[in-house]
Amino acid sequence: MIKSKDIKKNLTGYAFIMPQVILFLIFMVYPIIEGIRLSLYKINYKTETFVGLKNYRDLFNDPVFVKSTLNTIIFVVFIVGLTVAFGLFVASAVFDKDARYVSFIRGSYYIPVMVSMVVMSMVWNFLLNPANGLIPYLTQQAGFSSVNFLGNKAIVKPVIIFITFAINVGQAIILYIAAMIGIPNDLFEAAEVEGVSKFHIIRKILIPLVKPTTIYITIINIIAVLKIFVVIQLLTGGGPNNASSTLMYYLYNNAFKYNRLGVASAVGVIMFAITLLLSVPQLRAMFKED
Amino acid sequence: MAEVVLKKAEKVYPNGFKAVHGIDLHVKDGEFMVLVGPSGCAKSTTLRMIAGLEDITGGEIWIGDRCVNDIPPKDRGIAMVFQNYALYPHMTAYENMAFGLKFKKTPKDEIDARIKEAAKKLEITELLDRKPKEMSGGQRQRIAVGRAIVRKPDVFLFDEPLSNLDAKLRVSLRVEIKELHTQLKKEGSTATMIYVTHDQVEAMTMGDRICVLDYGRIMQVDTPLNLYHKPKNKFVASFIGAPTMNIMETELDKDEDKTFVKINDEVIYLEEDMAQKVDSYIGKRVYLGIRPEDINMVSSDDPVMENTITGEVLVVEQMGNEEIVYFGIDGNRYIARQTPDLNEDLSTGAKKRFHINMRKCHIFDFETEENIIL
Ligand SMILES: Nc1ncnc2c1ncn2[C@@H]1O[C@H](COP(=O)(O)OP(=O)(O)OP(=O)(O)O)[C@@H](O)[C@H]1O
Ligand SMILES: [Mg+2]
Repeated sequence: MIKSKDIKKNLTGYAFIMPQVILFLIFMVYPIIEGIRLSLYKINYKTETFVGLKNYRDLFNDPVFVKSTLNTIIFVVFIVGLTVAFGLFVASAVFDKDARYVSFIRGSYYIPVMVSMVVMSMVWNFLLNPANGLIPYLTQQAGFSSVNFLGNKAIVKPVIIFITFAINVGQAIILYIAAMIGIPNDLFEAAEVEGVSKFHIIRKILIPLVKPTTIYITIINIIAVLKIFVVIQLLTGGGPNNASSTLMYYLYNNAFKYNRLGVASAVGVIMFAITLLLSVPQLRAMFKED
Repeated sequence: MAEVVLKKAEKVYPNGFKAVHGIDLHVKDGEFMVLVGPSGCAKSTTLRMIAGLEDITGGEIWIGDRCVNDIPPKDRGIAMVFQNYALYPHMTAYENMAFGLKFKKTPKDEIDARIKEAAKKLEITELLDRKPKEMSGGQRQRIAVGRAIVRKPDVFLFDEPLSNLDAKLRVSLRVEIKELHTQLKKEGSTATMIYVTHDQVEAMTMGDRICVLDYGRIMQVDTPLNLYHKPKNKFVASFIGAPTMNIMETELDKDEDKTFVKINDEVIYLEEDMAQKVDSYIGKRVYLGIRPEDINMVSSDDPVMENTITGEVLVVEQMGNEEIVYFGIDGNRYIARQTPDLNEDLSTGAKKRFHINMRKCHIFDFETEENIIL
């Protein structure tokens, strides 16, 4: 009696999560499996030929793929590093100030986060346009020779890094401020009474105490930047000479421009594997919670 | 020398709220001073002004021979213990205690020696390499006290350090803190302590002197016994002592030779010496204050005595060694406290006579609420 009742109760529970599970299976699990399968085939419109790991071998022999991978790594390292560092810096500077001031800072950093990436990219495109953009105009006025920010191999990466960082950092600041406001004030007062300088309070107390937030920000940003695409597509098209091409952009080109679906799938599988690997600490932390 | 002196100290918060109204307080060297008062009376604010965590918006604060108005907390020679312990969660107990000292450029072995000594005093040696979350509340607060001791401050400041602990632990820790004070004094270290609490029992048991605050003003500063027996005003009288003092509104009156008050038409005579002090109040409204232990039930077969009132028993709280009788007269509630008499019928509604010991009564001015018989 009791058992069948239990099963019934559980069934109700499963019934409730069923829609979500079905969607998850259709739109997440199936594409992942299909992607892995496709990565082992050579696909030519309607014909699929099994080629084993050839797609992967080809990838590593393709200098553009190697370059895209390196670029992606560079973007991840710098953008995530800058975001965490600057996020910490701004948040620790403002979190204990007047609430109105804090909300102003929050708001102003959050606006770019709310606006779509496409719009932000277009804004930057206007700003950086070598013909009539504001920034090239200003640099020229300042006496520098005309700079093509997006067309110069040497500076395109820093520019992309800066733009992505500028768009992303708001979220990190918000998360950090929230975490810091949550720290009991008497910890800082205890340190103040003990004669710990502001600098050391930040270094020895504040930063260690927001470590969970740092881990979270680092991981979500790594995952986001790994997939960096919109900015590249809209600002540089991967150029000049693939200097700003990324894994995602490479995948996109193969899938939709060169029609090499198998190769594109292989890139997708590699990115999935990297992301999964990077998520392990985060997932572990999340499961440890309960 | 580590006296703490407040001269007309005043605090107006940025939102314009005046929390502290120019208070004068002199805490003597080595004294255990308790700041007590109801919630929101600015105990914490006052303590934090002494610590330097709040700016002083008027007056002066002196610690030792320096006016510390513009001296940052770290240079005031103080250590503070907080209600929520304020231990750094990512450090062990040892690191917590060492942390502040490192920034005072104290040599490593000196730090170690001081921590070991303090740990021994507080019996926390086994806890030293635990993190706060691996300790109970009482253990954490001990660590926090240890962190204060190792700094060898001139003045210890405590802000309700025991109020997060359960009742039993609170009692044992308050004894320990008091002992610590005695011990530090014996060792010759300056051990001026200022201790904030809203618990009047803590105040009475710990303080050398107690400063009673209300709405940012000092109501009275005195020894526990003086506060109890000679409260300067109605506020102190009713704040100190549990159960609280009976306070009734009445009118002073006089027949040929004796001054009296009336409680529900029953006449209560004042003692001769007291009567003289209140002579100018004849015919005026006053508050009469009587502690519960000065009201005693009169057994029914006693001959009629002077100064008795008749009331109806409401509730009796039996403590074993004493009983607290709540009784009502004409809608007002009074409290008597006495040794239990098991022969008496104390069921609710029983009519009983209670004798008032007028030698111990207090009379307060109706307007100023000052005690007029002191
Ligand atoms: N930052 C602030 N701004 C404005 N008013 C404040 C501020 N901090 C405290 N107050 C007010 O000052 C008064 C005294 O506060 P305080 O914290 O000193 O009270 P307290 O006696 O310590 O009370 P408790 O027993 O609840 O701790 C209160 O009325 C409080 O509302
Ligand atoms: Mg307080």
